[in-house]
Amino acid sequence: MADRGDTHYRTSRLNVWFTLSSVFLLASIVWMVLADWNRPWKGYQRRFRELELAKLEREAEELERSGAVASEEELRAAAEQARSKVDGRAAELKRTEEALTQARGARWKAVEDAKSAKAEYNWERFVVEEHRRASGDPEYGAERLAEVERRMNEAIALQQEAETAADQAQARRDELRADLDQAEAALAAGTRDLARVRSRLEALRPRDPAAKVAQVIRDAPGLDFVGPTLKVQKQVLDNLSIELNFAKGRRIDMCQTCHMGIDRAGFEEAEQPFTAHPRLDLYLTAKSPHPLKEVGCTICHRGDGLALDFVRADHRPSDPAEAERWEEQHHWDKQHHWDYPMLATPMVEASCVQCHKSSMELIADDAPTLTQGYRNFEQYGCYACHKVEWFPTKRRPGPTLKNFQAKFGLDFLQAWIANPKGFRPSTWMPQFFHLENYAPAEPVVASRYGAGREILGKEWDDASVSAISAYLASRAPRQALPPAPLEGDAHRGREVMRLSGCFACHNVAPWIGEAKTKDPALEKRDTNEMGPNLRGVATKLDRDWLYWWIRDPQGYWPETRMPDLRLSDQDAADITAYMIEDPDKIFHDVPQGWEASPVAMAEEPLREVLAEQARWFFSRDGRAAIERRLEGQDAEVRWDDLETLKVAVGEKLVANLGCFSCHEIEGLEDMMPIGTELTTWGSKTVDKLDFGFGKHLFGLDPHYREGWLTQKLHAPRSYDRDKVKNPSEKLRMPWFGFSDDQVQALATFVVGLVDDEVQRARMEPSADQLAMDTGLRAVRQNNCLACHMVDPGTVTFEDEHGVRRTVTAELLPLEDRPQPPSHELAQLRKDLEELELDEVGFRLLRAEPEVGGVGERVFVPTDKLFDLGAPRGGDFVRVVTDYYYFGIELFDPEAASEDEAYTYVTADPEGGGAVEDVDGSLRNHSEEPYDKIRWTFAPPVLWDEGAKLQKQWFYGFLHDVVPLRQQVRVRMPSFHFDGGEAAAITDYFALKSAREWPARYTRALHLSSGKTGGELAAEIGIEPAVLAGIENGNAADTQAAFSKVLRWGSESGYSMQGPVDPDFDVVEVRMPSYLAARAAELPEHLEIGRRIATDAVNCYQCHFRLGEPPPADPIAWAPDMALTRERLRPGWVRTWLADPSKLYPGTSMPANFTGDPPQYQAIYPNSNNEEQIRVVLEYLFNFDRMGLGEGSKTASR
Amino acid sequence: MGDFIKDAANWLTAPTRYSLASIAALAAVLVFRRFFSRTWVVTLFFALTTAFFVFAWQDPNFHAIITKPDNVPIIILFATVIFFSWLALRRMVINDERTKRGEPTLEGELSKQKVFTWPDLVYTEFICLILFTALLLVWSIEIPAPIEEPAATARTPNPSKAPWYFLGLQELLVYFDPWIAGVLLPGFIILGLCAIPYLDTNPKGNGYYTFEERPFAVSFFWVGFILFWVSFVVLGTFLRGPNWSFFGPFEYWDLHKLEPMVNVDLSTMFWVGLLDRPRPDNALVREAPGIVLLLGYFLVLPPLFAKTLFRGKFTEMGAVRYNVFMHLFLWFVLIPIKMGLRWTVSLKYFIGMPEYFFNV
Repeated sequence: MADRGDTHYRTSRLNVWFTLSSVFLLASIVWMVLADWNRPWKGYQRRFRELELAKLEREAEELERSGAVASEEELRAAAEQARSKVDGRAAELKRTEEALTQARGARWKAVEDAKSAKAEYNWERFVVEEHRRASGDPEYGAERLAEVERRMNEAIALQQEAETAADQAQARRDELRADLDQAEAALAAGTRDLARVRSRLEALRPRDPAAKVAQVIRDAPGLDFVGPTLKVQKQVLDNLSIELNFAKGRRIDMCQTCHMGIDRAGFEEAEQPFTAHPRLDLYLTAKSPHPLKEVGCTICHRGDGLALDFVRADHRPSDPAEAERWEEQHHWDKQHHWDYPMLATPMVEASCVQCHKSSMELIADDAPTLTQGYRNFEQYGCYACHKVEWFPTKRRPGPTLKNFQAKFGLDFLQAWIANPKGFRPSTWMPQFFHLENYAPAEPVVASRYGAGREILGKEWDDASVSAISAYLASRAPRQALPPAPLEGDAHRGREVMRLSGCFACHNVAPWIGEAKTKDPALEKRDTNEMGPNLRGVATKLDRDWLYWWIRDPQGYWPETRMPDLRLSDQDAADITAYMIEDPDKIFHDVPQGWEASPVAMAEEPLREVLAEQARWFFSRDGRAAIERRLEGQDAEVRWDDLETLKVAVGEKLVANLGCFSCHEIEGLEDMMPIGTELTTWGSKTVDKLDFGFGKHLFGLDPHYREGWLTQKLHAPRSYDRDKVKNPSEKLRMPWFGFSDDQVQALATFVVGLVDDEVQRARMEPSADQLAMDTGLRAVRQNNCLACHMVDPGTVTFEDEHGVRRTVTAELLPLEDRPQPPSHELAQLRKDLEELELDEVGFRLLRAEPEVGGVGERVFVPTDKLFDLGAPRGGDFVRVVTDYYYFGIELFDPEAASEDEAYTYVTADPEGGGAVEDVDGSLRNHSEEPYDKIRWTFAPPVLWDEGAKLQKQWFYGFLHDVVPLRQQVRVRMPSFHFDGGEAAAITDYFALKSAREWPARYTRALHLSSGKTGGELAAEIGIEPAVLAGIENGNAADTQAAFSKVLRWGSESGYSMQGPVDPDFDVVEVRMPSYLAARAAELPEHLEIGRRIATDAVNCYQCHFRLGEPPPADPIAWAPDMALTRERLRPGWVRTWLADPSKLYPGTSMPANFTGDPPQYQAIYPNSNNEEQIRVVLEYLFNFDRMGLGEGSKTASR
Repeated sequence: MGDFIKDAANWLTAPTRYSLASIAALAAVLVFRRFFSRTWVVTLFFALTTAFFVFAWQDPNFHAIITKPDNVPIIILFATVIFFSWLALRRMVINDERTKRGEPTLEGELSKQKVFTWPDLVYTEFICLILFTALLLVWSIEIPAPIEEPAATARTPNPSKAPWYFLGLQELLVYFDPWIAGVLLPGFIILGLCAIPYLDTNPKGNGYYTFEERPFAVSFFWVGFILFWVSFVVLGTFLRGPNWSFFGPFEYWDLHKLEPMVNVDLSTMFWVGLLDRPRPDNALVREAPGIVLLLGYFLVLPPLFAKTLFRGKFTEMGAVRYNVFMHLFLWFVLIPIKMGLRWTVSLKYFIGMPEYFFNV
């Protein structure tokens, strides 16, 4: 534009400005497009492409090495050959192909014609119907309609003809090409892996230049909305919701946009964010129970699933160092505006709770921290004060206080309330008083509404303890128990206590330091901390109370978990005497500084403090009323009497602190718990938590609730620190003395208690799973595993071929030691070194393919032993066997020398180490082999117990225990099962056996086939990994392929006792139809069976006969044969008779039917072993029908 | 030294002192306008302010609040409003002096000249438009839009803040019932703005800056806009934190900060405090003192002022326009009155009738 010279601004200069600003605008637009295009996640996707390419290249190389390429060439050559063969018939093929094309054309036309004819007919019919209805003429258009229908039918007929012709043409062509088609199909099948790798490689790195260019264009800025190769990956989770925008929205997770390798095997070692999930068997893969498409990421990990940026996803550092690194690398900071911060890695198990409320026991192995938290929550009784709606346990965790004065005195009570850990450092009872917000020398409050003197924390707490004690005593006046009917013998009591099972649940470990002896009762294990540590209890307990408690625990406290051991009066009296007289200085040993003395406070200050407490707790009644009562002017409430005042204040304190939540207190049975409800605590936003000065004092980050919680659990009153509070505002939660691990575990559990976002996705346990879960809980809560081993331990070693194997096995005793070492690697190493052994032996307890069968012994050099897995359950066995071999090892700290300090005692008055047998005589069995002692005197193993016991009998047994092996002094206790618990336990064992059966079968089959895993898998036609999966009990693999294994097994002639039916017990051998058929076949079968059992094998040499003990010593006794038909499953008995050591390696029961030629031919001519077992089995299950008269009815109850 | 400055800044910015200091500063600027209109004064002011910002930037709390993407416009507002007000002030002073000397005003002199629509107006406007668009783009790339938590019915963010331009109004909620602060007063603002051409027919100051010819109008505008709108926006943005509690610029936004505020209604002061007797049950009787007072304020003051303070105005405007103006004016003045009474005697409401949702 020309400059006219008369404008205010020079146009040329404005033009320059215009140009510059336009360039600036253009540049910023370009910048905007680029900034929008160049998202950080694209960088991650490009990097992942490189990683994937590298992986594919490795795979391709691997395939080449493994001969896949070579075999491809073979297949291709075969295909070429087939093609040339077909080419030989080229002229004919061409003809048929032309004919096929024509036939297809004709078919297409005929189909179309038929379609129009049908449409025309439908239209005509509609018109005719309408007209008939309107005109009332029912005959209208009949002719025309018939004509159209005829045309339609013609068209359909033509269509069918054309179709047949086309099919024939196709068949003719296929026939000519058959060889080629087959060869090509074989080629495709044989090169599937290769083709997959190649096509993926081509997709990621196209060799075709056009494809390359296309890829660039697809990802170009501004064009990448069409079909980019780099794109946001998202999971839309229809069944999971998230609280958004005034409503629950569908959860959408885009995490995979960067975490591209998360669900793919082979990226385990890749750098972040490409690392595969550490548990692909459990998570994200299609075969796992938590497929990515259904669960996504944020339902477990939390964080913002919609974010595509490191910071906005609200990633959570595991520790401050990581936070610092992230700040530097990613400018990371906490997203204040996101309410669901990601869970730190150590706490991520918390998320399991939201779906697994009804299967907490089933997930125990996969979520150990969470499970520990859940169990601590139960054990410490958190649920008693803090309601958690679904929590399955409801009983009060603490003992009843209804007649506590019969148990211990008020002095003890006061000292105990003031400081429970002072008496028993391991107690679950928390400490309520003398905590930091009532510091002993600091004033709590100035009395008389600020006008009086300052009351110190110690005074306040002492007065509280005294008041609570007075109140509890007023609620439960002492009701004396009858004296014990017998005098006990402490010396014998020591043995009774040891052998009847007390130390399965209780221990007497020293309070501080290591035990001086190797007495198993002094070791703390999970199972023997079920009941309190009994050290020092004789100082508090009333002798008569103790006697009656041991005799009948439920008589004093109906809800107790302590079972009834059905001890005789004498046994109970002996234990009582042992504990009270305490020759071993255990039950009078209290921690240093403990004294069961009452609160020491002079009456006047006590009255003063109590009066002040009354002013606080009764403030609603008004100051005037309170003062009138205190001065004794109120005739009804006379607080001038100290005792009355104590009781009144005590009641308020009990209500305020919630003692009744854990303990049954007369009159307070229906009070509501006092703690915050925790049902959805994990969804509570942080602004609702009072951090006090936690940020400054403990460095808590107020954006995260976990820190608040762990601090609260460590020091429940610490948020009062530096706060000025009056007694009604101070925190009340007591101190439990949790360890760091416990705090972490409990916090994990509580953080997992969230609002329900998973209604439609949560695991709905099947009836079986529910039964397993309930059963497992009952097993745990009744501490069954203390005595019974349900799963043997494992040994991991390297065999002679250099293959590392983990087998189910038990260790053999070392050298001349009587007992095998326990499954603790460190201890075993030490022992081996001590004994200078270079080899360790173990016995297989489960068929191990390529290693050996059940009972086989394996020896490996000590340096080839890598790991030991502890067995599940059976800790108490050691207590029993130890006693039989050594007696109790005692330590006298005042002895002159180390050697003299140790003594070994049993009930033997001679000191000869003899142990009382059930017949009352003392015998010394310490020379017997371990197997004999273990299988005879210790609680039985329960592995595969479901396959052994009939459910009906088992259920009855749990409710009404009958002694099976009379020689055992350990008592199977009589538990007081809640509704359904006993049934759940029987279900659990049956289901467990049923589930383990496929693995058992496959292993046995594998072993007997003598093939390697790879060979066997190839023959069956499954992947070796799947076969291994079945053998290791993987549910998905079993479901997918076990039927193939089974089919292959039966085809190759392998047979094994069938799986347990977890629902019904069918005892076929007792069925009339079965017996009738057998009688027709072999009329004397029961009699033959009887004669083999009694005359030939002579079962009754060891087994009880209708309650009659066998002639042998008790160590050789075996259960009553009369129980067999009710108790055992026939299938199990058959396997058992064939070879007992295959079920219980080490059992004393001999294998009676292994002769070759078969024995007992004299009784049962021409029979083989199997037939002999069969008749014995029939006899065992039917001998009540053999006219034995009364005897069968009274079989040994 | 640094801590002293921070403490002083925190102390000075408490709402009471902040408001009083703002009024005082505004009065001083207008009274000593000759001094303040000097270039070196404003240069010094901006230099000191910049120095203060540089110093304050080091403080984590200050840094956090200043760098919030939300607050960037307020920083710009702070600088631009002060600069342009100063510019206006300077021109007022110059014009007033020129008028005294009998010279035409700056704008008057300028208006003798003519320029072309194109390119002097439209072209320059177009260039500004382009530059501004580009600037907005760069801003939006470099400082992404602040996104808060997903909205939820049961939970409001804390602090819950209006858009920045409404923060001045939100500040009034501290002193007035929501229907007054949120409905009535904004309504009056709109009405008042609409009414200006009809109320203010004085041609003086049209097209040029002047103070001395229109002292009341200019002061009224400055108080209304700079003090009650802009400075309250600044207050609401930087100094109000969780629970709408006050936080100094260097103070940590502690969720648990408490403010002792026990406010009482006028009726309680009257019946209980003055007469030492319970408040009557009948709401109208109970609130009679407040009703009488407010009726007096709105009905007695206009005629009274018409005879005294605003006699000139009354004659100039006539009864109708005068009354409309007076009522708008009295509502406006009620705001500082109420604030003052809240700070001094903890007055809650003049009339407090929650049973009829009527609180003034």
